[in-house]
Amino acid sequence: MSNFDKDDDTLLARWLEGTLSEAELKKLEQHPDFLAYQRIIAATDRLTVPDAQVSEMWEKWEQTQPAPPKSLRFPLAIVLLIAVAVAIVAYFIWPSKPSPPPPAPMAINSGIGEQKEVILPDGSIVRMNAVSSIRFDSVSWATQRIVQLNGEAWFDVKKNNTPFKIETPLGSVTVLGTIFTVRQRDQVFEVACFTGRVKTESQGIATIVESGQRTALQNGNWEAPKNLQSNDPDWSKDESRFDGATLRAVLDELERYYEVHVTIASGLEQRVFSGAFVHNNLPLALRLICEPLGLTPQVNGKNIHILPK
Amino acid sequence: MDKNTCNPDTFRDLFFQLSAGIRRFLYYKTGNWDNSEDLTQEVFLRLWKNCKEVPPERANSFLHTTANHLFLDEARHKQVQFKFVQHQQYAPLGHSPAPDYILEDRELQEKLEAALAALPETQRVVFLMNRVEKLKYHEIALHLDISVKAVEKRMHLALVELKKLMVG
Repeated sequence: MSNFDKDDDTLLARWLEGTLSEAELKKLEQHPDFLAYQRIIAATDRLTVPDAQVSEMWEKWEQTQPAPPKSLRFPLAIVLLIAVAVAIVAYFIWPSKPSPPPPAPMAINSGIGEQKEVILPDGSIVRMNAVSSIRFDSVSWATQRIVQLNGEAWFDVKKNNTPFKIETPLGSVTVLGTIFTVRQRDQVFEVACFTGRVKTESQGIATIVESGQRTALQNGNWEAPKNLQSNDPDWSKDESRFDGATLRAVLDELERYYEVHVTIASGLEQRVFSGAFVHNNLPLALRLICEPLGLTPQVNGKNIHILPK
Repeated sequence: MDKNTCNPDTFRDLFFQLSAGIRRFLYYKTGNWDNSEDLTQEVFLRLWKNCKEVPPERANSFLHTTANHLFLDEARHKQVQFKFVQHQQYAPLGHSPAPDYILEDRELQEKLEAALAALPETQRVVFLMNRVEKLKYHEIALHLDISVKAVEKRMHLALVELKKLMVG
């Protein structure tokens, strides 16, 4: 009885705004709940929120906040110089001192077509996809679980009270639950969550990805999380799957599985591909990519050129 | 004429102009008044860190977006509980309101507060931003980054839901 017509799903909103037509208003006034609505609105409009005490908040702010970033402007140049200097020195020193086993941080890389499984100090598992790297500090691991990732990896995180955080050049992911993948390639940053839930963050904007959902960074904002299509990351099943990716991105991915160099005839780079390619059969992988798009691969040793049929 | 969010005076002005609204917004979201203060500080810290990218005229929008995306853990969600200030009785001069009227009124407010706490967060935020903050639907749409139509739907549903919760 108290239901509204399907088209009327904004009726009460428009009533409050005073934009109902006369006919609509008449109909609403005869609604059995109309009186109740009026009373609720009257009661709501009498609500008063406690005073926000802005001055006290500001006092607290001043006590806890650091000096303005303005003062950083000059030292920033110096900091950068030092950082560059340290990087250069580190570059030369690092390989020349292999003898003492590096206690921390650990760095692990995977090569072309290679997948690596790494067990972290707490028993959490990272399965790295091809051409990816991770770093973590096993000494501070007990107090902060931070993995720096470049590329793509699948995570099975052991539950404990320390948050588990993955940092990438484009943003970070904090784990609240358990199995998920992170994919950061060039400007692409994607997170898929298989069980539990994760929090992703980039430039101060965070979103939660629930179990069975994925999200990606689009122009600095997170897409609304969408449902995953299957329950496993595609590449752990020996195929790469795409949903509306550019041809260039697909072929970049191909180059991570096969030792080939792929070029594309001009004008085709931005063609959109949806589908998958396999990881263990190059001719088949090329057919799977090219045929749906009406393209043909020209293979010349390790060099492949894609052109229209 | 350096109207820059990184300028300490400009930032202070923004804090004084906008923090109360942000705190109330977070209150509508979380239902926890004490917590809303910490969260407000957190949201302003994000603004401070991004002060170079956010000009003063976009600060309010940035603050709302950040507050809206701010991660609220489950523990906080569980504490949804509203306690609005008991409003003053407005009675004609020389008359005090009848005691039973006050009682009924107080009961109604308590019922309303409980119903608001039980309302889905998305509906509650829209409803209170409109009714208490007196924001127009298009302003709410802007703050929440949703369409005006979506605001209207939430508004409509909120009232239907409140009625169900309060009257049955």
